[in-house]
Amino acid sequence: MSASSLTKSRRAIQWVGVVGGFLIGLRHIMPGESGGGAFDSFCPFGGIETLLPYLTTGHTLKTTNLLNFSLLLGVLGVALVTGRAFCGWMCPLGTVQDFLAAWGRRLSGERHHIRGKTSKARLPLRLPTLADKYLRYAKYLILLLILAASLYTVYPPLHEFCPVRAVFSFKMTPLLWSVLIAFLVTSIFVERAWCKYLCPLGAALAIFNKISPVRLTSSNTCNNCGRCDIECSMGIQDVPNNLTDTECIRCLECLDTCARDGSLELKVLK
Amino acid sequence: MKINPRYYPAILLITFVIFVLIGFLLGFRPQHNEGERGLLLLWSSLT
Repeated sequence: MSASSLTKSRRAIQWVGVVGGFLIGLRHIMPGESGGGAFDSFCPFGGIETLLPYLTTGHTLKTTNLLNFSLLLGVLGVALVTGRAFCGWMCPLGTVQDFLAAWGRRLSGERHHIRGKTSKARLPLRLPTLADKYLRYAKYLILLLILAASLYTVYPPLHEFCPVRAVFSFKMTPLLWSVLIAFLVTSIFVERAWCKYLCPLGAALAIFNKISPVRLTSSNTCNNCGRCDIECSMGIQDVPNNLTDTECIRCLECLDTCARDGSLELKVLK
Repeated sequence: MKINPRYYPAILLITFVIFVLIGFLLGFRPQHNEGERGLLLLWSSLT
């Protein structure tokens, strides 16, 4: 398989997710559809938001239902086998961010993206190392806050702030418009900003990078050329030595970019 | 054991589908109203 066909497969799966997101959003503005909140029931993170209330009361939060748990199980299954691959391959919000980052690069001077080569484009920006490091912990805090809040709320805690609703749902509120604008702007300026700093689902899946059996490994044929570092949308430095980093979204862009056969390999660890 | 990256997308999709189906089999199916079925109800009844 050529390098680019792996990327093509990824893009295809990602865009199926995006189209699916819009179709679900459209379905809920069709005549005859009422209730207004069922968009949430297609969200795997809704399963996390409604888990504690369900365990303690036997009822799901409003706008979520049991389907959330099945979708969450699907995502957890993928995470159990491959780590955060859901983020890199299936999440529609991640796809939109990839698209916006590429658009930002083009807007800021990049004509053709050459894989593994430092772009001359001014965008996306890289935050200062220290800020980047500590901001990445914010998503874990957000996850904890959401879990705690879910015990006291009627609707899922993220309901009014959810960027997925802002992007894919067609029922907008002033707050969702604000979220949408913030999401679009930050995604153009900082690659995968939502995934790096804010996404509570990514926070929940991060630990699986350490235990999933399907993972990348590096060999001693790696000459530390840094091509994989340049292509990493999550901004992981020294990729060959950080292949189980909790920030890795297992997109395999590093594998696709590697110019040395066998330096990076996909393996099932026993 | 080495895996050909060509199979990676299939691994993801098949795993996702299998686990979603497991969820359905456990009773976590789409419902129009708030649900009370599923194995988790057993847990909630114990707590």
